[in-house]
Amino acid sequence: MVEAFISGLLQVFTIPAFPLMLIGIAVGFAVGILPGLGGPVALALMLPFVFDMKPVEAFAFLLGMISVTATTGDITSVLFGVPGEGTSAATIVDGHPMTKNGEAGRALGAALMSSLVGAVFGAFVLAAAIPIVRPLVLAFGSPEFFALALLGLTFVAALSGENKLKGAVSGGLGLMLAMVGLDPQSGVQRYTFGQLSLWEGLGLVPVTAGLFAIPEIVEMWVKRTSIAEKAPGQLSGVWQGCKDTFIHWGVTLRCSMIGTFIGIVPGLGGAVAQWLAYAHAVQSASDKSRFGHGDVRGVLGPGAANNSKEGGAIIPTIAFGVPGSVSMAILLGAFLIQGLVPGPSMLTTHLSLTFSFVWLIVLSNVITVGVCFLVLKHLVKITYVRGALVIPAILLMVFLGSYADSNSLAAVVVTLLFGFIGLLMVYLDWPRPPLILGLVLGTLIEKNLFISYTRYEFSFLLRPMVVAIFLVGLAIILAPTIRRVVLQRSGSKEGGIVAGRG
Amino acid sequence: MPKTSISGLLCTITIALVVLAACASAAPTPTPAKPVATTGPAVAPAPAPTVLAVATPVPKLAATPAAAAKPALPAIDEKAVADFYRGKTVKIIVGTSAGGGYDTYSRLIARFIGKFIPGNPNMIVENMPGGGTLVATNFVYKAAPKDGTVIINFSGGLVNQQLVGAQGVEFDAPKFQYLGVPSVDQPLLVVTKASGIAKLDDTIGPNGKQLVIGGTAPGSPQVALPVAVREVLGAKIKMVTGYDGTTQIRLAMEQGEVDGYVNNWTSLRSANRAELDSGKWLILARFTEEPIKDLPNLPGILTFAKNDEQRQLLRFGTISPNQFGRLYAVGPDVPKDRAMALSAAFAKTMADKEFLAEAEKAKLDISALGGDQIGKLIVEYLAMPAAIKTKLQQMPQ
Repeated sequence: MVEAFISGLLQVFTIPAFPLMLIGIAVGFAVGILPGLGGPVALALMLPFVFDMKPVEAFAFLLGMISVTATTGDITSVLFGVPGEGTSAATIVDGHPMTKNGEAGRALGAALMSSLVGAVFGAFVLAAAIPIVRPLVLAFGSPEFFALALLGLTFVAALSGENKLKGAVSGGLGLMLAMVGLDPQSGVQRYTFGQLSLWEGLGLVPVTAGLFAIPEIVEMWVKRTSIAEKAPGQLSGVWQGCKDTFIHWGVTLRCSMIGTFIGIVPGLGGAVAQWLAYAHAVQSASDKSRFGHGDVRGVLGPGAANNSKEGGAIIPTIAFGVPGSVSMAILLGAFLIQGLVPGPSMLTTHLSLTFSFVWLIVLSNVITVGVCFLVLKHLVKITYVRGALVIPAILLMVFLGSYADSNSLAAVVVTLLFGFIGLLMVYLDWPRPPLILGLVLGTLIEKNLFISYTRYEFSFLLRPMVVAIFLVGLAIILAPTIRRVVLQRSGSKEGGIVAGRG
Repeated sequence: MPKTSISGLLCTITIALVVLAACASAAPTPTPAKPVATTGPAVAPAPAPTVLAVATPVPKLAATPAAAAKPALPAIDEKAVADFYRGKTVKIIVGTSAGGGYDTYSRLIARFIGKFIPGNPNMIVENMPGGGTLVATNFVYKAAPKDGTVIINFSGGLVNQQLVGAQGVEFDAPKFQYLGVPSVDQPLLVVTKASGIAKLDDTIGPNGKQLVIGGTAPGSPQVALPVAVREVLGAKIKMVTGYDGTTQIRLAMEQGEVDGYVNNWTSLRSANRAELDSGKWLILARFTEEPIKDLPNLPGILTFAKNDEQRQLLRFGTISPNQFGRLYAVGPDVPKDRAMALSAAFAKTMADKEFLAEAEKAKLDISALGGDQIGKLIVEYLAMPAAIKTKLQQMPQ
């Protein structure tokens, strides 16, 4: 096992594996920054090159690309409020306000450093989990996914800010919007208004871009400012952002764990990881007032989760051939091309190759973050350019990104529509993240509920793991109430003692 | 005020440009440039991909000696076709998203077919996912350019959708001009040993044991074939649909959540060899007319039919459609000589040694059928006896 660990590392430093990794990083960099060109599309395009490569080289190239897109997607989210990847949307919520406060450097530093920490964490979980991978993944069937998705819904409260009722309604609206499209069980059309383009449902990228980016643009236009409205303060540097990652190491580490876990359990998907991480960052903070207005922890959480989930997602991909994320689904194609069969052999005969994956993720993230730091200063300068010059470029990014998501004009219409809805929600002070969470979780909940019921009828609710997850959910919901009751009781006790003395 | 008007003007122009650009032509999904194919077995160093510029088409591969000896194309004006295609770009529109089976086949074909089309146009591949390839198919039938520069790659399952009069079908399958199929599906009914079912007969009849089969979306072969077995033969099959894909169903089989599923022999052969060899998985039946070479003792589904009507229903419902699972076609109004040239080029690609070698490397099965044959099969399928058609239409999805 140890020799495989070391041999994996040495394999990465061979020619042509190492240069290929660098090329993969370069491609992934470009792809991640350009919204609309998603990681999965780039992967699919690069697959044909992999035919002629040896396994380590092929995966050096592909993994170099995947690791990077998760990191660079955060850059446009923070700077422009436009999600560079579908999985970078949660970084917008606090990252972009930080930019507006003149703290773009800090936000980017935090995003990058937390991405690195998350990636390394995910990679080492991958290494450590190898012995227990198969029983771990097998433990989660459709009923367990249903329970997990429901658990995810409890996080809506954390995303709601001060007004819990509005947050709940917003989440409910998201759930409803998830129903748009073809019913996955019987093919019935729901709310498609006769539009073929809506059969697959509302795309996550168009909705997020519309909901978050367009209100920002409008606000910039109306106020006639640049992206950053305030001058940079003392604590605004990139270095401060990096330090923040370690100052708030609890958030970073826990969100890395969340991301890895969601990556490991195939079926939850990458979009969920970032929002749950963000929600957890909010929940676990004692002072929640700055979230949504530029709290650095709101950047650390999703930044870490995004990258750690890729490491986690490799686990079921290798062990079962069940992709833990969309990128992994395409990576599976690479497996087949290389003649590797995912399964026990990857953990025994090809163990050193598996370990080389671990090292590839770590190395490519380190290199990416290093390169990013070099160009960051120049990127930050963009946030001080006059709005009139920047707005057209951002608008172009938004619409191109939405269009490229599914190659259809309908996505652009969706973006416009949700742009209006986003504006309304901002003016009326309704929280937007719960809507996205509901949208993302809705399909998961419905699909798994249906499969569970069809297969097991109601007995699926009595499975031990399901019960355990429900109890955790219950605990999360009741925790604030319990805390309040306990505090009141201890408060009244003290009051009584004081009163007794006094 | 000057500031607002400049900003507003810029924004308006940008939005207008975006809308115009989107309407004019869909942004093609670029395939990266591949250097000229090296001949001989020398291990070529991995080509450095060009930076993803917009619309980098696949450059024409240098004509190999084999290609130069092209047989004369029957009765078409080759020069006119060549004049048309010279310098143009032909796109293959794939009805699914990037990275899946359809997409992989199309990208491989795109790399080789260019050299066999008179005029050697550039080939690119574009994805237009939605509705199980329905969105792309409707688009090519109605709205795409009709000059022969657009090829559609779609699922034969849509032909069945047209048969049962499903909503959203806006095309007439026989009117497409078919180039062919690269491979013929050979679906198999696979179950786990743990399910306790060793033969399909165990599930049929009054004492039949229940078999839980996992499926993806209604209308897909994963669902349609087991449903047909249930409705026609009376097998006790319980369908659990809604899984995202066959890999998820496989995981559910490992967990014991479902007992089995339907999948292609080529996929099973490459991805699940271990389970089949060890006996962990059993194959109950094949949905083909002829026996499969590697599985000589496997019963065909028709052997379970008790009468002629059942045989017909199974033949039309579960076997015929497998031959046109992965269709390549051009729209009905494309000039005949160009359609025929494309069809001939498709056939030559399927026979090309380099293409076959690459397909072998990518584990893609090639067992091609030509455009004319496919056209005939589809017409035959849609012209099935009325009684059979009614029964198939009434089958629950």
